[in-house]
Amino acid sequence: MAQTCYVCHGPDGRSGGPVASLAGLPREHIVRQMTEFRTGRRPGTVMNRIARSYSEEQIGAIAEFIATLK
Amino acid sequence: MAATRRFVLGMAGAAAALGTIGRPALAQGAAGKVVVIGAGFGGATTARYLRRANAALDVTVVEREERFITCPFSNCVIAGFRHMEQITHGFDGLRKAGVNVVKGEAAGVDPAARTVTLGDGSRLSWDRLVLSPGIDLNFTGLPGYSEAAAEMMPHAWKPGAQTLLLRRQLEAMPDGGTFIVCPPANPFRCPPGPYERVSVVAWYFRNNKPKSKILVFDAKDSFSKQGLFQAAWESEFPGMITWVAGRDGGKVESVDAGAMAVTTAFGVQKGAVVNVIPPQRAGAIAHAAGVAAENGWCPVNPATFASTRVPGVYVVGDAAIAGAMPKSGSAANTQGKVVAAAIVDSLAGRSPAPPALFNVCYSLVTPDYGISVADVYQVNEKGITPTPDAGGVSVRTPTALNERKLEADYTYNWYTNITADIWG
Ligand SMILES: Cc1cc2nc3c(=O)[nH]c(=O)nc-3n(C[C@H](O)[C@H](O)[C@H](O)COP(=O)(O)OP(=O)(O)OC[C@H]3O[C@@H](n4cnc5c(N)ncnc54)[C@H](O)[C@@H]3O)c2cc1C
Ligand code: HEC
Repeated sequence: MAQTCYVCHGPDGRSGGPVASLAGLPREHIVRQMTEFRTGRRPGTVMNRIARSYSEEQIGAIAEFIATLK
Repeated sequence: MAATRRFVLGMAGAAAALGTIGRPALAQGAAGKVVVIGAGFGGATTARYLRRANAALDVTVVEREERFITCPFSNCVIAGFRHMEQITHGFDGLRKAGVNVVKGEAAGVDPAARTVTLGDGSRLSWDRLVLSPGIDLNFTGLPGYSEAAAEMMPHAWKPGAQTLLLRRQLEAMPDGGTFIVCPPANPFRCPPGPYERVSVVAWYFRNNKPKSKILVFDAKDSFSKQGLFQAAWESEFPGMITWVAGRDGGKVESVDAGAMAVTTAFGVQKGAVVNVIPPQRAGAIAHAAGVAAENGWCPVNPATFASTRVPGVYVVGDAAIAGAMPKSGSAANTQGKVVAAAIVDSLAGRSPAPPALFNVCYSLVTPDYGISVADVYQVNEKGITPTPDAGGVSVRTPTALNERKLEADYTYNWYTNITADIWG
């Protein structure tokens, strides 16, 4: 699932553009941001639409994987 | 002993669970030979992610072109704010990833012998075959249109010489001319593509030939991101663009390239420049391999993208029938990752992990005005469907966040990152 994030956040989470890199972000930070996008507490252009597609468990699993990217 | 076995089983379970998220780049699974036809969005992704998942795999890509030109951003070339070199990618990144890149034309497939025959008569054998040939244009699908007619009325739906031809025609067009665009019926490559093209050409006209008009004769009654596009056309280019729905007489019945004329239920309309986007079908090799259905596209298992017709063969990208997923580069990219994982599992004798399918189509209205549609897909007995109550299109009314400008920046960001993921 996390590999689908790469088209905007860069291969292996290393972005070559203005959208943030995910590599190096701690698990808790990713879970918190995804949850805030999901509930709408954090505004965004596209992440709200994306985060709403995942369950809490899926967000946990995605964050777990991303946290292993260096 | 029991504890050890439980531990080993636990590890296998953990590895399988990880497989659904993403695989670490180390060899885990059986060796095998995989041949991929096409080094475009779907094929190059598949090849690369096969090697990442299992470095013991022998992966060969067959591609007829020396370098790949992307359709994404070819509309920007047509509108004059991108150059061809910026949308052209070589295959050194694939080679560095350990993929064999063979330049040639895949001419035939023998599913029983598990071989592919190339144009020069040579043969490649495979344990698994992946087809990502993209589309062929159906030149017989529209009376009056042909490869010769396309030299006067370009389609520019395959990038390269056609892209530059349309650009030159628009540059040569006098101010006050009419540009006619004829989008096809569904399904076709890149559902928002014709409307992005209309938008960025309108931007070019606004800056250079403001008296010009754009007429869109559509075979369809509705189109992708329609509300967002039409609102943008009104605010950015008032009075310049007229879109005629199929039911209102927009369906093109025939074209006459010599007269630069298009015939619809309305009668005959002449244009200074005419862009005809003809009907399409899966690339010829899919038909030769026996994986295409009557309707011209390839039915696949929605969880693995394995052909439902020929065992051992997978189809990704535009050629595949992928439920609700559009025929886009983004879709082909996630499908390639799904197929890579499915092939690794299948060679290792494992059952496939649940597929992670996603799409985003960013479109530019002007170089500073972007919109998008994004969906995460579910796979179940209904096939591939968007996740309910999620995904969808950009906000209808922009806020203080300045969504349109940000999404333009993120469109360039998407291009940078997806092309790095595939060919970088
Ligand atoms: C104007 C336009 C704009 C677009 N914009 C976007 C966009 O912004 N975002 C987006 O996501 N998508 C966009 N798309 C869609 C995108 O280009 C396609 O969906 C994508 O290219 C599909 O990938 P594919 O792998 O199926 O085919 P392709 O990328 O076309 O790759 C197929 C490759 O196979 C090769 N090939 C075919 N047959 C053979 C053979 N027999 N032997 C050897 N080689 C062969 C071809 O040469 C080609 O390189 C756009 C399309 C157009 C036309
Ligand atoms: C279509 C492009 C796109 C995709 C795909 C995407 N993102 Fe994002 N992401 C963005 C953008 C753009 C932002 C900035 C907020 C916004 O505008 O929505 C962002 C912001 C974020 C942030 C906040 C970063 C920070 O620290 O400020 C996180 C975390 C994140 N995304 C995680 C993910 C994960 C995980 C995935 C895959 C499941 C993903 N994104 C897929 C475009 C994308």
